[in-house]
Amino acid sequence: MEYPRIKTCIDTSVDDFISELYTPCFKWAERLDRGVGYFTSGWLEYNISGLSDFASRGGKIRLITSPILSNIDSDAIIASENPSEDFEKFENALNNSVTALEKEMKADILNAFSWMLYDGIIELKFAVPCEKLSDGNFHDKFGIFYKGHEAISFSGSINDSKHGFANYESLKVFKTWAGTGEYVESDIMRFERLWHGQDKNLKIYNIPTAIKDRIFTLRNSDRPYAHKSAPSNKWEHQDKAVECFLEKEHGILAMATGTGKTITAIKIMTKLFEESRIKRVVITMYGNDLLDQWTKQMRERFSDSDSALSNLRTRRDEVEHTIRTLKFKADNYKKGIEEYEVEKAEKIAQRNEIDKKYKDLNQEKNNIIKEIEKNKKDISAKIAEIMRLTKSPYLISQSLCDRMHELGASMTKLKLPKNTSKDFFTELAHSEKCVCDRCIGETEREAILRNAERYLGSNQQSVLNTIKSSISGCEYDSSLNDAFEQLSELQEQATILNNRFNDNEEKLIKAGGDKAAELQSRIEELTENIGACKKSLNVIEAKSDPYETLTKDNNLCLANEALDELEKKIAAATNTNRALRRKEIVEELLNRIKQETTKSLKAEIVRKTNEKLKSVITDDKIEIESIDKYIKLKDRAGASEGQTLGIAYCFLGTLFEDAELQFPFIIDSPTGKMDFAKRQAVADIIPNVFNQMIAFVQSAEVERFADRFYNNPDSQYITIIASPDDENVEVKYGKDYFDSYQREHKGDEE
Amino acid sequence: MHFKFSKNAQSFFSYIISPSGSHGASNQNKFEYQFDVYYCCALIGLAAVQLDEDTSDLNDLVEGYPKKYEDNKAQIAGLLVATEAKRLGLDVHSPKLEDLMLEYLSDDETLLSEEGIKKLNAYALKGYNLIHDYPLLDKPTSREEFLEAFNVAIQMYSK
Repeated sequence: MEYPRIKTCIDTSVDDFISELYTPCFKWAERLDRGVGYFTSGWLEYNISGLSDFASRGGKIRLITSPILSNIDSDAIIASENPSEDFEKFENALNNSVTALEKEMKADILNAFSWMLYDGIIELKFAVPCEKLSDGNFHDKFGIFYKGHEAISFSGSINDSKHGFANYESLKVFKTWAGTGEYVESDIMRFERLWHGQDKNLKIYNIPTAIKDRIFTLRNSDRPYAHKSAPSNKWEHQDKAVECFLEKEHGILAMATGTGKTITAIKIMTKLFEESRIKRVVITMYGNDLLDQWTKQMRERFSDSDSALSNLRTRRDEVEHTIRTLKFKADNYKKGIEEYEVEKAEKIAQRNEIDKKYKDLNQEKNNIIKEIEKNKKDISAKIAEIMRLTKSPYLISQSLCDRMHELGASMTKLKLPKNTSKDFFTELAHSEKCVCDRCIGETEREAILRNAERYLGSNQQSVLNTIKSSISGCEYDSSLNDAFEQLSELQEQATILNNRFNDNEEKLIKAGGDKAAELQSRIEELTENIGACKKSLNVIEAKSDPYETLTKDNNLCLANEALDELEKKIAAATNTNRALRRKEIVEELLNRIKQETTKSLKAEIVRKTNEKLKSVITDDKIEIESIDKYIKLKDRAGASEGQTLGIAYCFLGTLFEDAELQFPFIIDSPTGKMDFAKRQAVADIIPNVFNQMIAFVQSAEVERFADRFYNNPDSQYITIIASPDDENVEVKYGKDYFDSYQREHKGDEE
Repeated sequence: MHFKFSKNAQSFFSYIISPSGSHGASNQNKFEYQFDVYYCCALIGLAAVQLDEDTSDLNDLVEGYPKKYEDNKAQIAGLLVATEAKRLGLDVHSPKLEDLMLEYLSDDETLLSEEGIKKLNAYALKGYNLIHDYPLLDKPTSREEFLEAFNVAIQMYSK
């Protein structure tokens, strides 16, 4: 099989969805299942070319979409508890959508859509969320293209609308043949669950017939594609009834006369037998007419054993193909798991080796970092020490210390601060007498105050004293210098540590930081692959199905069971067929024997009858030519009444001649209008033809007929006399009375 | 009266001095006070017995000494007077020394008169210019880098 080449991820920014997904898939596939939140004419417009080709090849689309409903409609449907009322509401709501469809859809697209719906190419269902999803929409977007046993599924954010193609949207694509089969299977199962209404949180509606009919009227006379099968299937309603019955597992077929209730019932039975869902069926009906109808149709249906057998064989071939495919897949998965495991073990070993080196280097790194941290703390402490020491200026340098000592020495030499202070002279100027007891006049006062400025005040003396005392104890030492040297050493140490750190980092990178990450990523990828393979393998090889997700298409056990079942059916059907063939042969032989025997028998009857006729009808040549439903005379079209009676007695006599059973031959008025000669001949022949005869004769039939038996000792005569005047009936026994009475009353009958 | 430092100096030392009032973790490798750097520059100027009295580009730094300098303010004042005496070439026995003291010293918290603080600012400015000339050509990025340069400058410019 040639597979379409579709990318695993498609986005609207880089790719063209139509040319890269839909067109190649429509070209390849036989079917499309699509579940999509919004389906609009835009999608049809874009894909009309691919769709026409797809439709021409007999392709089918099953589409589940969200109906465009107003909130009021939607709420009413969700709230409804009565399914029929619910459906009615749904139908009313959809009517509005069809009106919108008519207005908005381009004429050619509308025509194409209507035809595809009409031809059953597009099958449409609507999903309306309920229960716990009742506040939301059906917003899924996924699809599956099928061809034979292969499929492509896709899912992503895009709706089937023009607007969808205008957004930034993307799709992921999975293929059964590209190792992503489990995703495809999961999508298929999901779609089937939705399609058959098995999701309790979604109400699934078929498109109402009235709506469908309305859409059909939108077609024009040109079907825009070549259609494979008949344009319409007048028995479509039967197929729908079958589908509905199988889904609901019960039901009543209320169908008009002549629309095929019996056939539909037989179709349902056939399907149930084929799927091994039933083993027997009870059919009851009233009256023979229905029984005949059932018998006829059952025969027609089930005697078509060649076709049934052929169907069974086709299905068996399909299941066998599925089993081969599943085994092939299982082998591939096992091989894949083995290869992945080997590679994973190698990668883990490589990573462990790297990890060991890496671990050592990381340990070294941590040690260096600790040393760097300590170094930083030491530097910080040393800086604090330096800053503390620099606050003492005499420790900065010997020269500064000397300079301060010189100042101290000068202050000592100049006796600074002087003991006599400005305060003493200011106070003295305001006294009346000096310390020498001389009077202080205005002139002296002014002179004292003027010269007091040359002396320090007490506060200034205090400052100088503070400075002098702070200088006096200053002694330079090397503590600051030592601290600077230690700082320098610490800085050198920091440089060395930084170099060591950088060297270690380089070694770490070389030892495989990136390589380890790469290995780890591959190991994770391999683990995922192994997991996915095991999951798929489990599905194929599972013996039990706790989640009811297994089918004969994805599980070997179920596929084998299905195969066994089909083999049994084929065997049964083959035996039935053989028996039927034998029966037909026997029937044919019997028919031929019957025909030949009948032919011979008729010839013998003709011969014997003709012999009798020769003695009965002597005055004319009457001969039977053939007997087929009626007696055909040779070379003549008919005979007189008497001759006809004679022929009849001869014919009947011949028939009863060789009969196995003996019974009396009763003749009412045996001679009729036969003339005397013929009467006598008939009377003579009757004893030869019949062993026992009861003849009801009238008086006129005594002569030359009844009297011909008088000499026969076995003959008995009974005379029954009934009067029309009263109800008396008189019975007389014996030949004598008979003869005399008949002769006396000859002509009374008239 | 504020200690003042040049705007250029503040910008030059921005990597190693904390913005005033900021004491976050990001300031861990910075001097606690801008005054620390000012003081070091002043020491360089004093050691070199050089000052720069251009006050056109000075910013107020701090009013009074930070607390941790309190214990050393008398020595600093003494060094300032001794350096000024040396710069002015005063004889150690000259009575003018007393006048100099009266001019630069006061009973203020700093023990310095306005004139005294102005002189210390002038030494700090010169110290900054000297260390920037050599050895600290580029903006220092760490305290240790600055202190190493400070040590070199003291030894280089001391008289």
